[in-house]
Formats: sequence, structure tokens, C-alpha cells
Amino acid sequence: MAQDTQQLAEAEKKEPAFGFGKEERQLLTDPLNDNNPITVQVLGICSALAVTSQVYPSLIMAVALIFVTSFSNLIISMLRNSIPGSIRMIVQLLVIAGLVQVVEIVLGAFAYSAYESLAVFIGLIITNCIVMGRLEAFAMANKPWRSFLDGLGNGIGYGVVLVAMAIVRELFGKGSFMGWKVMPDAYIANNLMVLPAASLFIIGIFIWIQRSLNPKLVDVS
Amino acid sequence: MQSNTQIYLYVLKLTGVIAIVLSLLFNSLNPMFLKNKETAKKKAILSCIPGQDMSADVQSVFDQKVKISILDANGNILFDQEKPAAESETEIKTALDKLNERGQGVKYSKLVDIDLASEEKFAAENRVYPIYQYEGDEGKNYFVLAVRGNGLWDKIWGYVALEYADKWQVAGVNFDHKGETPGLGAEIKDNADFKAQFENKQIFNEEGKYVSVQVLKKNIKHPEYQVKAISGATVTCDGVSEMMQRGIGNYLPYIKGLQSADNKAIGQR
Repeated sequence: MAQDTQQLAEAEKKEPAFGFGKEERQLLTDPLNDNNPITVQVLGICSALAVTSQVYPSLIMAVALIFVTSFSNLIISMLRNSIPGSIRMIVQLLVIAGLVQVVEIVLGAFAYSAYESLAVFIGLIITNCIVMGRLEAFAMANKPWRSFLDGLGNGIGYGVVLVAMAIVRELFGKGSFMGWKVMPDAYIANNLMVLPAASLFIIGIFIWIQRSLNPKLVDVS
Repeated sequence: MQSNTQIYLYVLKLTGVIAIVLSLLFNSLNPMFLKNKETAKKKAILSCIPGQDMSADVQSVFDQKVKISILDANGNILFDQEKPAAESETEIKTALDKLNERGQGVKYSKLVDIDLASEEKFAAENRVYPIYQYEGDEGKNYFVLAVRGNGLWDKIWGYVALEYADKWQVAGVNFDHKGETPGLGAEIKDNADFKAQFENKQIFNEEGKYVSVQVLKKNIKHPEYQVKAISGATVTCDGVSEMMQRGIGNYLPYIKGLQSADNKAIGQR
């Protein structure tokens, strides 16, 4: 047993701490398409339905989640060998909650309008399944640098879908992009697109398009 | 396998570290947050004034042109700011200290801090109401009132600017909400056309009876004090109507007092 850990420790030393090889690149790019947290794993849907009626708050939400996933992955991965197994989920939640508070305080000081429009959804990042899911599935078993990249990748994968949805919803629901009017005056805004229900079928359409383009995602069963 | 003591210690240490980091961050950034909040409020108040240039420095415009008075629940003046805040610090402090004595965890440190959300904690007879007097060019004065009520899901609030030109009329309004439905109830904040409807509406009818500005779905018989509701947002609009009726009502004794003292003086007080 002692020998095993020694061998493991030696093996860890040989690998560069901040390498960026093929595997690391895959950690970043996988969640963008093949393993997207929203469209493939169908996690984090709650906030994707709620905040995507406009582009700007969605963008802030995406940045906030990227920050929380990547740094919670990093911290948990650094602590992973010391966390007592029986309370690991409590420790994970503690770290996530702390980071979410950081986001809330920083937003309140530097991006007040976004802080106001996102309101409760910032706090609800704590319950976002993507964060806890990546901690359990990846950070508890991998080294810090890789965990950080995994968190970054998943956060970006979530953010890309979020912003794409927000662009569609704001364009058709309000005729604008980031608050600027882009549709001609004759266009009558479709109020349905602003309602949360619209994001359900927009996600559905996204999943449909993605599955028909990506052969890896075809359900063989 | 770790012992229970080790586990307790681990959690304590981790909690301690996170608590220290968060409190340091909070203490260093909270002044900025409070300033943002104050600017947002000043912006909301100024946006009711017609022709206000919102790209200008809100803080300095507000400090120069707006004077804040405090009314008690019966409409009597508790405090009347006559000079800019910097010149009357002690008077303001005594007035605020008196308000803070009411307890309930309400601590005002500036006149602009007084808001209806905090006042709701007190019994109706102990509440105070802020009134923001804007001194426009050419002696034209606006009185901005704070109103607060209930929407469909949560609280709604706003500011109403009144002006006196032979009759009391609304010069502009600004509404905000905590959690109304985007695209429906939230339109009370986002829809400029809805807010523009309130401009030049009267709050007294021909017989001089207080009517406030009513938000109605249909049957608008008195366009001089009735506006059209947003379709699909009936409950929120009823809330706005109720909020205006009760909210302006809180200031009614004060408004009537201004009127009876001297009609002409209203413009140049």
C-alpha cells in the first residue's frame, strides 16, 4: 500500500504540472460539442430557461458560471486527498457556496445592472448541477490543472449554449441585440420568445440540430 | 478512516478560511456596492423628470438640484432640507438619528437612504415618507414621490414626479419590480410607451376629488386620469393602479397644504 502511493507520487512528478497536450485540449473541447453540459448531459437547464431572455445578463451568467466551475474544480482537486470521504459533498458545497458569494460581491461592486437583473439566479449557481456534477465526476479523481481545464471547458460549453439561446430569444422577442435595435421597425416583437417556455423548445431545436450533425451523438439503441 | 475529531477539525478549518476570505472581500468591496445602489436610486428618481439628460453625472446633478424632505404618516413635514446636504450636516444627522431610534434594524446614514422598503417594517402610523423636490430651470419645480405596492409575484415600486400647472399633474413616472414576468408584468419597467402614458395625467377630477392615476384594461372614460393596462399583465397593472392610489394618497395632506398656502408659491418654494 505504501509502495503503491510512492509509485503514484513518482509517476505524478514525471508529468509536467501545466502540460497542454492532446488530452488537455480534449478536456476543453469535449464539453463544447460531444459532451455539452446543456444539450447532451441536460444539466443546468433551470438557469438556461430563466436568464436567457436577454443577451447581456446571459453573458454575465456564463462568465459567473465559468468562474465557479473552473475554480471549484481547482480547489476541490487540490483538496481531494485530504477531504474526509464521509463529508465530501458538504465540503464541495462549502467551496461552491463560497465562490458564488465571491461572484455576487464582485458583481454588486463592478456590474451593478447585471447584478440587479440576475438577482436570485447568481445565488442559484450553487444548485447548478453542472458544478457539483463536475466536482464529483472529475475533480475528486484528477489533478488540479486538468480539473481546472475540465471546469473551464464545461463552463464555456454551458455559456456558449446560454448566449446562443439568448441571441435567438432577444432577437425575436425584442427585436434587439444587447439592447441595440437591429430588427426593422415593421417587425412586431414576438412576446412568446421572452417567456421561459420559449427556451424549452429552443433548447429542443438546438439538441435536434446538434444530434443530426454529430454522428457520435446518434442514439444506437 | 479518519476519526470524528479530525473531521470536525477539517470542517472548522475550511469554514474559517472561507469565512475570512469572504469577509475581507466583502469589506473591501461593499462601499462600491452601496455607492452603485445609491446611484441607481438617484437615477430612478431623476428619470421621472421630463427632459432630464440621463447621460450626465447623476450624482452631481442630484446633489445640486434635488432637496429631500421627510413627511410623517399624517403628511406633516418632519424635516425640510433647505440647503445642500454639505451645509446642513448636523440638522440632517439629528433628523436621521430620530428616525433610527425606531429600531427594527433600520439605520439611515444619509437622507437618500430613506426608502419605503425599510419603512414597511414599521407600523403604519410610525412610517415616514421621503419627498424629492427637483428645482428645474425657470423656477419650475417637480415633486417626486416614492410609491410601493404588490405586483403578481413580488413587490413593485416606483417614483412619481408631480408638477403644478394650474392643476396637479404627473410629469413622469418610473417603475421597477422584483420578480414580474419578463415580457408581461416586467413591461411596467421596460416599456417606455406604458410609462409615457402617465405624463400629464391629473390626480384630481373636475370636482377636485382625489382619483390618482388609474390603470384600466378597458372602458377608459376619463382619459385625463386613466391609462391603458398592458395586455396579459392584469394583476401587475392592478397592482400599479393600487400602488398609485395609496402611494400618492400618503402625500395628499402635504400636496393640499402646498396648494392652499399659496398657489403661486408652489413653483418657487
